[in-house]
Amino acid sequence: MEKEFIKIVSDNQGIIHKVCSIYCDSEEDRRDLFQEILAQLWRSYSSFRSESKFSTWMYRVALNTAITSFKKDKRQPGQKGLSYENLQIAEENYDSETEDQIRQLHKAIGQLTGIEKSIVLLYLENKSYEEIAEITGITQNYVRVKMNRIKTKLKKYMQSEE
Amino acid sequence: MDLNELKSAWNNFSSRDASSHQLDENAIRELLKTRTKNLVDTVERNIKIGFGILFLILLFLLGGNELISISMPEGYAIPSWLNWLDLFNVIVFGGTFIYFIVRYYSIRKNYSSISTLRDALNRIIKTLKIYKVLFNMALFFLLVVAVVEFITGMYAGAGISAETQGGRFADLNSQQLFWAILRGVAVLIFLVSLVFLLFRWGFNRLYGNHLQNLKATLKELDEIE
Repeated sequence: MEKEFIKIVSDNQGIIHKVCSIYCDSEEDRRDLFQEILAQLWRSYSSFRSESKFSTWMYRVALNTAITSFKKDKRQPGQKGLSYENLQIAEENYDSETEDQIRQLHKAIGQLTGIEKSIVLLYLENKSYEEIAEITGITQNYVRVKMNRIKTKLKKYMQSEE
Repeated sequence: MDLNELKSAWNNFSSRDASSHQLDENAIRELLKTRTKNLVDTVERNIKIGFGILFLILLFLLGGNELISISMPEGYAIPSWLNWLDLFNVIVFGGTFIYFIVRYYSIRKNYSSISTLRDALNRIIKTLKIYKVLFNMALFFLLVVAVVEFITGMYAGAGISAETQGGRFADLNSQQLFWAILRGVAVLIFLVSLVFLLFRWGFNRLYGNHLQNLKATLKELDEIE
């Protein structure tokens, strides 16, 4: 079962990396969170039923772990993320316009709470409200309301930056 | 920058970021092997230690007076009011012990399969709360047991001492005995209170912020639903 698990996680590890990049503000945090998500996925793997897609289940476990993860320092869950270190990777690879957009993306997402980050991540990943609701375990109605608030919050933030 | 531009920036960033952090199967296997305990694992281990402490206190309560009785000369017995006090303690502590075990395992059972964020938050919050109360109670019990056993010991010791000197317990200077007991109890209360305060400070320092944030997240989740 472990072999099968590693194979399937390896194929879908992009999901964990995306979650880590949203929630972590340093490479060290990122490594810790990646490992914690991996451990949590392995622990819950036996309870995974094929009723939902593997990616849906993986998003759910990864986001729940990220939002509830604990650090011994004063880091507040969900209050930081998309660190400057990450952006330094961007600087090496992107043109200046893209780099500027990514910097703004980083700042904008940094304003959001843990739950908002999970919803916005799924929105950015082009998930429908139905899928977001399934992954987060909250109603579609709530997702819709929350998404509208997030959009307003982001727009306001971006306008203030212009 | 509008939301569509935000989306395109995200697509640009996330795909390259994920590929730059890509791990092969061996690296994932290694990470799984070397995984460390997370918060809930650590807290659950400590809760089990707490159960062990409570159980030991319970055993001590059950057998403490017996040990003192053995060392007492014939004809002397621990006063019945102390035995009744011990019985009361055993019932209260035993009940609390069972209560904690039932609470803890019901949390584990109810949240054995974490499927939603609300479940995950509830499980951690409840586990942290039970952890906090359990250790506070264990320390409080320790104080009560120490005080009761200290009084028992002083009482029995004074009786034995009077007997060996050819006197009677009633001949002892009760005022001196009272002050000796009071001083001993004060030292015990001070020491256990110090441990209690240290533990509470340590708990709040370690988990206080995290617990508050988890509660805030749960509140945010409950806002509309």
